[in-house]
Amino acid sequence: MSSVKKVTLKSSDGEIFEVEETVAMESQTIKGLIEDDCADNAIPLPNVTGHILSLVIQYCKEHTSSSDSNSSKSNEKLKAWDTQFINVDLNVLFDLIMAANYLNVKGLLDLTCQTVADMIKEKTPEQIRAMFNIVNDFTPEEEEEVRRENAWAFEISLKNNNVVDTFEVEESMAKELQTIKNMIEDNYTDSVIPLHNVTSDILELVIEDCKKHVEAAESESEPSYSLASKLIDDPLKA
Amino acid sequence: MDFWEDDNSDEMDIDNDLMDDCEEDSFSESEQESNVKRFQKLNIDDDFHVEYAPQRNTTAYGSSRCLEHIKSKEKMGIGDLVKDHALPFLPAKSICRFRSVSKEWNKWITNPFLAHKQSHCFQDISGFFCQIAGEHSFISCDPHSCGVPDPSFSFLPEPVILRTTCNGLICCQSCIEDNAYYICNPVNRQWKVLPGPNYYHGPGSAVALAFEPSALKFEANYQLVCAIRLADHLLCFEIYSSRSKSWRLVDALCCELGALSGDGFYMKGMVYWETLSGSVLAFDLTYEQFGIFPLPPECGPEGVLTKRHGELCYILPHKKDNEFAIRIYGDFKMVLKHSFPLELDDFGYTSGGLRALSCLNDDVLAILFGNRMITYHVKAQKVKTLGTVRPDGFVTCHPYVNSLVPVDHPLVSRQQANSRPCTSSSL
Repeated sequence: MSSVKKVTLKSSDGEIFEVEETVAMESQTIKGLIEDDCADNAIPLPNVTGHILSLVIQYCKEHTSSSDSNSSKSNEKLKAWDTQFINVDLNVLFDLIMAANYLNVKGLLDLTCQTVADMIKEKTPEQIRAMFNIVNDFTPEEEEEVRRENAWAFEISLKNNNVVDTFEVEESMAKELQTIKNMIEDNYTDSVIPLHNVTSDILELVIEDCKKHVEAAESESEPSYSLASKLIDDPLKA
Repeated sequence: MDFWEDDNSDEMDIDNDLMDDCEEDSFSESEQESNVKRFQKLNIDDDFHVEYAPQRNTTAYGSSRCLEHIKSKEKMGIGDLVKDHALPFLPAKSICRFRSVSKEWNKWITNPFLAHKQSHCFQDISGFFCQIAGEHSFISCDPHSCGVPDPSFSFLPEPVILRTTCNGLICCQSCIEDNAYYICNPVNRQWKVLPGPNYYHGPGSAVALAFEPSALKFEANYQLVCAIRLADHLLCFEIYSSRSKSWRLVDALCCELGALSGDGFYMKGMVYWETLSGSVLAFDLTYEQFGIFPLPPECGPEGVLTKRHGELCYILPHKKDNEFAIRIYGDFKMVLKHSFPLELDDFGYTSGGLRALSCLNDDVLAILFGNRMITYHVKAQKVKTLGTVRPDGFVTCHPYVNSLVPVDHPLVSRQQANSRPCTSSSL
């Protein structure tokens, strides 16, 4: 039985990883080095830290073994593994994107970028700039023109969706929201508090958040109020 | 310490590079290798630093001899990587909004190469076009990220009815004159009117749009397949191809089926139509042959053929006493694969019943509950309301993918101008 061929990888912080050649070849960059006979010594990877490199190797291991005909790993199981794998800190996710790009591991690049895409799809341009340190090089007039040309993309017009949902919440929770706290303290008599500028899904998230805050503190049974979200045509401010 | 500034002038060349890539199969290995940067073996010292040459195509392609020079500033490249590799995974509305992030983002987003990439990377059903009595509306699965500028199709030169959709393209038919077919994408408001077919597509005919976004082919190649009723039990097939820009009658003739119940559904090289007698007419576009298989005996207008886990399946709502369930049938024998109970107590009474609309992704189904459009997550058993439709009649709901796919690409040669404008760009 011939021994399995291995390659040695060295991370930016000096960690050494010994990996099977087939696994390492999931990286097109490393594959190229191996094929060009540059891989006899340890391959230095100066912009991938040990922590990130170990994650990349984990991914490659999992995806190499799945393409092996002996492996019984189904597509669904692999997908589930990927979902679990990619459940990381945002900073780690960014590092993984850069490592996947540099090491040219297409599957990992797609997985990480799809994850980031899901995170940013509901964001505003301002939030995008903040998240990725992008400088806004438009003049105010230029930016205004781009916004005007694509005004529809900035609107959350719910005219067609036309949904009204009510949520029952405990008073202690509702008081987490200053606006509603004031209403309650002013003896707001209507049993349903309409919130004109908040959509159902946003309201749901806010309530979840309040729940967490309240559960952290003590709570006793309180009278409950109904909050109704009413949706209108006005574009939602960021 | 030397650093290269992130030189934006490098980015200016992107357009030229990318436009060259656009002709023919530009993703071949040899072209990529010519873009490869030179690597050098580094001596690893404690105080080493490296310089960064911003990559034009930010993925290192093919085989490379040496390691690249890299800027040691943290996360410098993440914005560029997200722009190049994550944007194509987004729905059109989000992408259009991000045009105002920066000039570089705006340039990339308006590049037809991105539209092509996105049409291939993003294929999720983003919402439904609903129509009743000539009135159109769009119900989005996520209003923040999916949408169209004009859901009423007023950008088309004539009033139309929506016939069928496929992967971001929509086939409409004019309500007047010669009932011309239109292919359009409401996101970019591009459209094309098809030349008249050679045969008469009477009331008994049904269409299906076949469009598979390709990673390699830059042009959107689609086919409009029409099953035409020639006589009581006689169907023939006429196909329009965007490649040949013409109609063609296929040899196959089907004399075994009665009426078709509506327009068809495309998946993986095959087109499927349901019949009123409870079977499915399947047409293979590669071999241009048809086959027939039965739907489950309980099938009806509330069921729908759709794709789940990459396979064709039939989704049928089922009601017993006051309990609702969703049944999923699959395989070519259409056997019962799954049955999920549907908890709809919170929604109270409805007179309209249930109608299955589509499978959104493997775990989420879109269902019309009375006049309320909902999504149902089968594992989490979670219901979410998307919107409401008009309650005063039968509303057709077509699933739509928020794709940037161009209908009338500037690189594609125009048709000869005739009295009627034939494409959006000739206006």
